[in-house]
Amino acid sequence: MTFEEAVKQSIKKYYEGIDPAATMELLGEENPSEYGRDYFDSVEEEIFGEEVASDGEEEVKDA
Amino acid sequence: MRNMLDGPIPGENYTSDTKNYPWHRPPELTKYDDAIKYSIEKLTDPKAAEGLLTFIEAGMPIATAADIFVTNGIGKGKWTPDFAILIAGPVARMMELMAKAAEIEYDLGIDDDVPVPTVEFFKAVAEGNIDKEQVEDASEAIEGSVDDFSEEPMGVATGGLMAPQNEATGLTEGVAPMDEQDAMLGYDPTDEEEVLV
Repeated sequence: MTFEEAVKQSIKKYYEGIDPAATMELLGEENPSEYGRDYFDSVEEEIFGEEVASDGEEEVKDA
Repeated sequence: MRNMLDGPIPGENYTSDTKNYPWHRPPELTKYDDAIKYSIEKLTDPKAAEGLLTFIEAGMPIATAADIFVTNGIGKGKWTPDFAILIAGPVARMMELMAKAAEIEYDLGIDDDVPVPTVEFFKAVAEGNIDKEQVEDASEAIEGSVDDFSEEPMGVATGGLMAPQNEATGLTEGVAPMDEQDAMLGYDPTDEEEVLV
């Protein structure tokens, strides 16, 4: 697997709502990230004023 | 013609400074939140945002743009390659929000079939075919919700992509099977057979 493929895979998993185990280790269970999916959803809501699914199951636009 | 005597002599690598390049030194950012904060600040910079959105509008997949961004961070010594992969998701999400805010049609590029850049793609990039007001609006809207960034002292990242997995991950510990190792090294058993024949 090349680095480019790994990055693509990481993004794909992120949009599927799956976090890498290494991210969990990095953050620790007691310290959830300030910039999790909820943060980006709230930013989106702030900009567009629309409700977004917070569990990462957002509709993925892909051509 | 290349002079063969211009090459490094054996052991010359031991005489060079190992801290010549940023990626030779410990990464600047080792905390997940700090790296995301840094990425948001960089991406929402009006000049950077304009360039990014131009590429996205021209048809560059967001996954490719995120790849370029995190790779650039490695080159600047901001984070390690392992760390770059971990933050690629949030970076791509950020880019998606910017494209949405600028009302630009985008392609996430996470499907297996990645489109090859076309002549139209390069023409649009060359012409800078994008509305600057859209870029500024998108940049300001997102930047407003980000706190000030303060850099943390340098440290060494722990864990990572190459670290052994534990039971919590559901993956087995230890050495990968031989066929998997061969594949990782780019070894194809058919090559050897061909040579033998």
